Amino acid sequence: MPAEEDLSRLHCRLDELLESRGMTLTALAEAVGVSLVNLSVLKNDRARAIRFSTLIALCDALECQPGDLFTVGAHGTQG
Amino acid sequence: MTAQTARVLSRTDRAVLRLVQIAAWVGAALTAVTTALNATLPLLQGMGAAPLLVQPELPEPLAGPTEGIAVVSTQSLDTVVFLTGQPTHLTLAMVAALVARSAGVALVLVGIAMLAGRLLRGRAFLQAAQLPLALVLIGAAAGPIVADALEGWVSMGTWQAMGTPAGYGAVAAFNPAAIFFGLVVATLMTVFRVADRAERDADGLV
Repeated sequence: MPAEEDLSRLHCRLDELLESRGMTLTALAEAVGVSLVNLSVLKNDRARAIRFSTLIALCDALECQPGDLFTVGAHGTQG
Repeated sequence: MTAQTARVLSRTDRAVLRLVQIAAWVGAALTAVTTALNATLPLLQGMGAAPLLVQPELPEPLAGPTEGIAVVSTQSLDTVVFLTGQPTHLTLAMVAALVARSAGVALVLVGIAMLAGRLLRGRAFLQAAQLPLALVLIGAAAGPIVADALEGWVSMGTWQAMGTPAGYGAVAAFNPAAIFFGLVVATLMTVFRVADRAERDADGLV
């Protein structure tokens, strides 16, 4: 099981994807059916886990793959 | 650590929890005071107490029909009798039984007050909730069981010290409800532990 601090290496690229698609977080929340608070948690890299159903809904709404949504930074860095 | 439970509490929930918390603390304090008085007052008057079976003198039935419903004249009443000259160790054991029973009630109330406070402050299922639950478990199960055992011993010892007179008898009580309640609380403790893990897993889940 990864250490808790390792989670900070994961970066969610929701901001970049939203910007490139000219979409707001509110619109995405409506499209995906996830609360704005939860999407904000994800966007600010404060999420500790994501449901597959949320991931699929996000990928559908943003027309991307899971790999486009997340990046993992090197050891000792923040994502 | 986020206070998830605190966020979902409505104003009514908070009011009810606050009321429970205050009532439980007051109840525990009153129990302690009442116990202190009940334990010391008979001692100050030089009396001991013991639970005994007593054959009461029943009043004569009213004159009336000779057939039909009637009270059986020979029966025993399970009651606490106050007596003088009780051996000291039995008097002390009776006081200990009273304290154990009241301490059980007080512990349950303190546990409830602490649980209500924990719920008001934040997450209910934290490991720290195990302490108030343990207090409820000890108070609900151990208190009555210890008290019953001591009272049974006092009853038998007092009856023998009295010379086993006719019309009196020793009494021993056992309260299975205490065991059942203890099992329920022990199960609740496990549920709380599992819920704590589930809550931690769900914290930050999107």
